[in-house]
This record gives sequence, structure tokens and C-alpha cells, in this order.
Amino acid sequence: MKLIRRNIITVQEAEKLLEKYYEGCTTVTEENLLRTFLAQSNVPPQFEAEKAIFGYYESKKTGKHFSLQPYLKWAAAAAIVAGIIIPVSIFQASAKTNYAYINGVKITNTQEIISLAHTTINFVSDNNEVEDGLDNLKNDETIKNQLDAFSEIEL
Amino acid sequence: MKSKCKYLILVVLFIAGFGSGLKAQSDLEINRIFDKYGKQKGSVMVEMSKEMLDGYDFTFYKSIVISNNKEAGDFTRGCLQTDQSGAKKVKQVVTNGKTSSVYLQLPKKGKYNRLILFNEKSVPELKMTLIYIESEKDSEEIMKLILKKK
Repeated sequence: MKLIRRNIITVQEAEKLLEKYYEGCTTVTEENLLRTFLAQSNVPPQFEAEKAIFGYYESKKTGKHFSLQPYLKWAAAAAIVAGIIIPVSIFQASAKTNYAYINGVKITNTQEIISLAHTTINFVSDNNEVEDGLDNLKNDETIKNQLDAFSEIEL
Repeated sequence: MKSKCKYLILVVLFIAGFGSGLKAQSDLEINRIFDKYGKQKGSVMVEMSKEMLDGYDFTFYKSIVISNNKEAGDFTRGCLQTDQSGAKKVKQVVTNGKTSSVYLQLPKKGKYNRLILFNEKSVPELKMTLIYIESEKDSEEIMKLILKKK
């Protein structure tokens, strides 16, 4: 069938195309012409059924479709953030592992650092003042002496 | 799109900055002592993390020893005054009205027990020692471990 090159077809042309359509012989261009024809507001009533059919397909076609694109953008952004944060965290974790400063000079030798840490701990653990102080408190003699200081006070 | 990029960069910087300051002792006043005196002459500062000291079971260890610096001792006492709120004072020695030694058991942070040990000696020379420890072990066990090493 020879189609006139225009967007809107006549009622007769539409009827012929519909016959072809039901026979399954229409081309995409012809179906588009039918769709355009049926999409008009002043379509004759005999085309109501076809209008419904094409309207259904149209709404299906123009209905909301799921697109990955915006999600891909966010996924890419998340990947970038993770790509920055994870190495930074790993670097920070490893960077703060072991170090020492002696008079402002940085030392990274593990054995030396451990040795320094041991020495520092010994400074505290060698401190007998705490133990002695607690022992004194437990010592009855100390308490007795302290109480004696008040024994001469007359009430 | 430009504003989105700016927002993204800000988020990244914020998270990276937040991560860098995410040390458990960062909320403590004693952190200022490490910052202020750690790299100075007369100081020995040690930091060990995720390492186990031979014989000790610490998750994190940070210490500073400062020699012949009276101001540092006073500054540390001031910081400890702040940090001891909410902490359990395990032991304390006051000499001539000044804290010369204190062991503080801080509130737990996550699964870690935190401990601050401070000691200042004037003989044979003025020497101040401050230790911050994090461990999964009980504070009492940490103390025993340290004192056992005499």
C-alpha cells in the first residue's frame, strides 16, 4: 500500500491499515501512523476499540521505566569515597603503628621503640611511693600516731 | 553538578578528617601534653598501636617522659584534673599539695579499658612520666602487669 507522506492519515486509510494490522502485516511506520491517527481527540467512534488497544500500548510505552543511570552515578560517587577513605584509613592505621620521638627526633626502629616503652613503664612501676603510701595507710602505727596528736586536746 | 561535586569533596574531607582524629585518647585533655611537649628537647614520646609489647597485652600505648621541665608537670596536672572527671582514681599520691603520682581508670571506650598513669619524681632530677594505655584487659590486670615488671 502506498502511503502518503504525512503524519495524519484519513479515516479510510486508517481502516485499511487496521485491517493490515490485524493481519499482522503492518510496518513500524504504518503502526506509527495509526498511533498518531488514534491519538487524535476527534477520532470517529468506530475506532474506540483500536484507540483503547493503542492507548494501552502507548501508556505501557510511556510508563515510568526503571533507569540505572542515576543510581550508577551515586554508586560511582560511593566507590570514589570508599576508594579514598579505605586507603587513607589503612595508611593512618599503619602510620600510627610505631614511632617515638627523642628530643624531637623521630625513631621508627621497632626494637628501639619497644625498648623505650619498657623503660617508660619502668619509670612508673619503679615508683614505690604509691605502694608505700598505701602501706602506710594500712599501717596501724601511722594511724595511731596521727590520732595521738589529738589525744591531748581537752573537751 | 558542580554543587554535588563540592558536596562530595566536603563529605570526603570530613570523613577523612574525622578518621584521622578517631584515636580513643583524642577526647582527652592529656592529648594536649603529647602535642605540646612530644617533639620538644628533653622529651621522649612513644606511640605503639596494634602492637603487643612483649609481656604486655596492650592495644594502644602512648607515653611521654619529660625531664627538667617544671611547667610541663604543672600543665599535665591541669590536664589530669580535667580528665579525672568521670574516671576512677585508682591510686594517688600528693606531695606538698601537688599530685606527684596518679593512676586513673577512665570510662571504657567501646571494648577498650583505658588507663592513665602519671608520675613525677624530683630526685635525682625532675622527671615526669605520663602513660596512656588501651587494652581489652581489665584495668586491674593492666596495673598488675605494669607493677609486676619491677
